[in-house]
Amino acid sequence: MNNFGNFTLWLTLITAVYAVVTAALAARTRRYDLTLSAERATAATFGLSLVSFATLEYLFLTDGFGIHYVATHSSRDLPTIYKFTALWSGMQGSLLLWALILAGYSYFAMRVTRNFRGPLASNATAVMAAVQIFFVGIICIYENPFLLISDVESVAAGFVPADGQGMNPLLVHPAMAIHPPMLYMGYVGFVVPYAFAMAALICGQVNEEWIRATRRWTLVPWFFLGTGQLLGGKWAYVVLGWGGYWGWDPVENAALLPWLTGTAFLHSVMIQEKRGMLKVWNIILIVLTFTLCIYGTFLTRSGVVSSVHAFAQSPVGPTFFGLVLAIVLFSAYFVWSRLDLLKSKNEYESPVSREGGFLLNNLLFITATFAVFWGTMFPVISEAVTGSKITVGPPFFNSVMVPIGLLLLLLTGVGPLLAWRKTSGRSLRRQFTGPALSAIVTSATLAALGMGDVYAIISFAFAAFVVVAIILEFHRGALARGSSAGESYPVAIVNLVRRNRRRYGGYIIHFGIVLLFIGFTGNAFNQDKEAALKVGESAEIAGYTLVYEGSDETQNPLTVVIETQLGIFKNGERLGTMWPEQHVYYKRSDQQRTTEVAIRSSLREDLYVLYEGQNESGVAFFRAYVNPLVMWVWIGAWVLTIGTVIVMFPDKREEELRRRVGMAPREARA
Amino acid sequence: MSLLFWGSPAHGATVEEIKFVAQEMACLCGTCPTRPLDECNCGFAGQKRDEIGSLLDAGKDKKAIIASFISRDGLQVLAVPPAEGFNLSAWVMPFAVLFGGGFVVLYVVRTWSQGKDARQKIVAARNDPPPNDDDPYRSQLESELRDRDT
Repeated sequence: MNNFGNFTLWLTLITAVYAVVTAALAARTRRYDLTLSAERATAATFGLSLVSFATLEYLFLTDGFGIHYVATHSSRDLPTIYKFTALWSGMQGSLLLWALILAGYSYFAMRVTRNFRGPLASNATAVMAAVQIFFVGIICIYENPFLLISDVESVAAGFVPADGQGMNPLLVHPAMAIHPPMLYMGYVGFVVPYAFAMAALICGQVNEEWIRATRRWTLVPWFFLGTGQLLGGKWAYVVLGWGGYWGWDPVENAALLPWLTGTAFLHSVMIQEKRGMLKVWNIILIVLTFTLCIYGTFLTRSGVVSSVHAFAQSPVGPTFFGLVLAIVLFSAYFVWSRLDLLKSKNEYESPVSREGGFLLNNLLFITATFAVFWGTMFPVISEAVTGSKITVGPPFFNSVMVPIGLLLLLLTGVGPLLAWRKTSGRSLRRQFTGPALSAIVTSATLAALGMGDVYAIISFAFAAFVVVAIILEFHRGALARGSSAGESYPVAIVNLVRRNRRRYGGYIIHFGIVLLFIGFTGNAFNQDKEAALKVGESAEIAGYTLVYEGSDETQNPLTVVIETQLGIFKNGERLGTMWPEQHVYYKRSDQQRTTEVAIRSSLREDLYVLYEGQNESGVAFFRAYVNPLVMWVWIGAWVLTIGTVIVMFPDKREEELRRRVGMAPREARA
Repeated sequence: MSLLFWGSPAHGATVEEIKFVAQEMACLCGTCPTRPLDECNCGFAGQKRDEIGSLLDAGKDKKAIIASFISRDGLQVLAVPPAEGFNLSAWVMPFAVLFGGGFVVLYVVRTWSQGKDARQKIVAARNDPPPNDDDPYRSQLESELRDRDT
């Protein structure tokens, strides 16, 4: 089976090479037969990637421990679903997943642009296939998942161990099952807008219709990248047991970087669509976003920075860095050589305008991107310059990112209230009075109630501003529809969203962002306490009394489960019971232990308790956290998801515009 | 019921006193993303907090404790880069980018605004009615005066 897997891998590489050559030739010669051939090669690349992936999955599901990768990442007693997800728990499998998703995106992009074949679509196919060559080439040459154990270790040919080494127990969790595919759908997906941007430059077709067509291709990976990060945060919160969901780890930061520049692009592109401005800047943003995706992969796999998420250091690191350089140089060449085509009639009438808001939006997003990048790479830079190691931990990122984040939060409310070109004084008063009053009232109320954290007060005030601004936008729109179309208020609200998905879906996304910020602000008030308790003893935290009521130990095929029971009281009244656990993976040579956190959630706060073990005297050690407002992070994530789906939903008007991308439909056969 | 808390069995130092020092130092266990010592709940962080407690009991203040850790393990024990020397750039650069980027944006939009003004002047000049005066020099002078004044 490994030979079959190897064969399909190399065949995928060959078809990808064929796709590049035929697509590039098709773009140059406009020959229909070459166009068709490139499309078929793209489809074949996808099909073969799927077969390679399925082959490896088959090996995992059938415990093919003769394969080194399977033996080191799976075991017989792993539940079937986690045998499936174990494929992407290591370097080789994750690269194969990346290659599969890339092939899938290339295929579907090809299908969508099939009705208007031409040089633009052909060049885009060529660019995507070129990236595919890199990834499949890396897999074939450096990180082949189909190697036998005897190919890697000094054992007899054909050696098959009785069992595998298993998967890291921390990864045996539903969130971890889907977090990597989601992230890769995000990372990889940015290849499509990048490919179309490069194709547009290569062809010289840098018009607004191209940018409208690529906007949805940017939304999709943006959505997956954001969702993937939130899923990762959820996993960290419920599994890792340190009471938080974002640690500013280098690999976490690597996923955040392209999301930030992608968000800047999604906003900046509106200026180009509406006013024809910022063409060069938008191309740069797309290039930067895709470059950061590849850079993130480089960081994760190179060992340049240490991270709990990183794969083991690999020889592919320098190769990935080479790809980053190649992308930068290739893109810079075409941007520079097409500058005359990218010139636009830039007219800027007033800073108090939607254009001014978007410019400030971009400035803040780029600053945030730089700050995260700088903080992530600073340990390496500092050691190179000074010779001594330095740590850049979460306090640094929080210090730098909180002010920038607050400005962005405010802009989330201010920007949509500004008019294109120039906002009149009358419009400013009409639009801003309500939100500004709500911000002032909120901040005054919180200060009067004794809230001492200035950043928290500002955050809640800005959140109030944005929420009121969004509500007023919906309200005014519904009133307008009510008077013009005679619709009832609820119907008008629904039709507002239905008829203008971009605008009102965007507002829902902004609302989701506000909820996320409300959740983040709760971190300012986190409390934690450790306690060592015998049965019957209690500890207090933030008004809760935790009474240790005993423990129980059970065994299953994988683990010994130590379950403790805590009675939760407040003001003398029993609220409920929590069962923090510890799992001991007794079959593993390292006897790895994982904590199963007990969480009692409400809209106001989470009571979060983990059990850290006990001594011979029966004293159990607990760590308890009270984390205010965490649930709003997960609610915000859902609202963000709903808003994004609404925005992504096909719009008939936009469909017509997309059809105009590229050459006229179907060139005649030669 | 009795309550046993973090740090109390082994130290005279209180939880808050240990936290006051630990929050400025990084956990270097390698299994957490360099979280501050007061937040990390791994065994390594626990040992370091015990060590801080012992040093507090010995009468050392925060500055001296951190200095002793630095002299043994280097600057990496600090949770954030110190604001001195080259490491100051860690703090300065993001805000330099913000303000520098702000100046760039201002310059660019000013250029756009000037470009727009210039175009508007040209359009206005083209739309001006021709002077009725027969004196060609007076006509030219009045036209140039109008341009200067707009």
